[in-house]
Amino acid sequence: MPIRSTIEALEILKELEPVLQSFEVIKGSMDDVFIRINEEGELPYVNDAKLSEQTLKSI
Amino acid sequence: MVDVIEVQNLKKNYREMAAVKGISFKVKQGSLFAFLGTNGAGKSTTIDILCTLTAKTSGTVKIAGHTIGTGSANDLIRKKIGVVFQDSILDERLTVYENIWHRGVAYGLSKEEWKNNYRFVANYLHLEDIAKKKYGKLSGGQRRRVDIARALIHRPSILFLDEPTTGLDPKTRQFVWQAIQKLQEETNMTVFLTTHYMEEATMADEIVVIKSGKIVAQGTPNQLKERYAYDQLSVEFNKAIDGAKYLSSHPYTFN
Repeated sequence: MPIRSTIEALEILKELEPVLQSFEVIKGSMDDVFIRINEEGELPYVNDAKLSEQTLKSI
Repeated sequence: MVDVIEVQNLKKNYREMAAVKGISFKVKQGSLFAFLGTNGAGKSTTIDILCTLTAKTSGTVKIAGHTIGTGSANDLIRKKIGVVFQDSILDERLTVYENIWHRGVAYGLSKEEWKNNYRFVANYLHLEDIAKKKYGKLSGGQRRRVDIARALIHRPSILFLDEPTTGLDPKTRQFVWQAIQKLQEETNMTVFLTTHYMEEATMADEIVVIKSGKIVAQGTPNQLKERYAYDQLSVEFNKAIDGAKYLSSHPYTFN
């Protein structure tokens, strides 16, 4: 899943820890930056970085 | 830190076609500045103007304190800058030593100055083993080292590198970058870089991206990554969890 920064992964992983087998965090690259700038523009606004209670219940 | 390059509202038209449409940016002394863009974005035109090779249509460009196009500024600027072009401009029939000697003569260096400067650049770029070889007989990586030495023989304070590592193998690219970075650290030289290798741009202190003659992004590599690139979190759920179902409804997915 795309995340705004690798630090944000900490919060998500903390919440998901009980149901996780493994994980990997990959930094965004300058290739991504260059392609994004030339094709689409700035990233959309990220509304919420936490799992909603409803989603947690659905797991 | 002092700004050694100041570009204000620079425009360049080729007849009706606007190649550069009013760009402004500054480059700090001793920094590595990356100027990026797709082919045809206006990079080469901008660099040609900064290196005094092409006349601007309007705007102001100041290099090392001299304003391009005023009085004898262009001549003074040429003594302050070194340029490594995409394609070599050296004579294939001359040796490395002879090629660099001729370049020194063109810059009006005395024999003593040339010797000192040659020793200096040869040390950084490991030219000892190839000095007596004809330039035309060298490998791609060796040629690039000589091209850079040629650009440095008059000890410029600003080095323009126009796609310096295109076509080089990873080992040679690494060597070229180590030499440039060492030189920069030890002499506080400013490096103005264009490249299509984005990992090279990651080393820059500041990046400007140009598109269709206009600046569309500017910042440090980390700032641009934050604005334009997502990091990725890949997770593997316990067997009891339906990962696909979860991922289709979780709130982390960006639209």
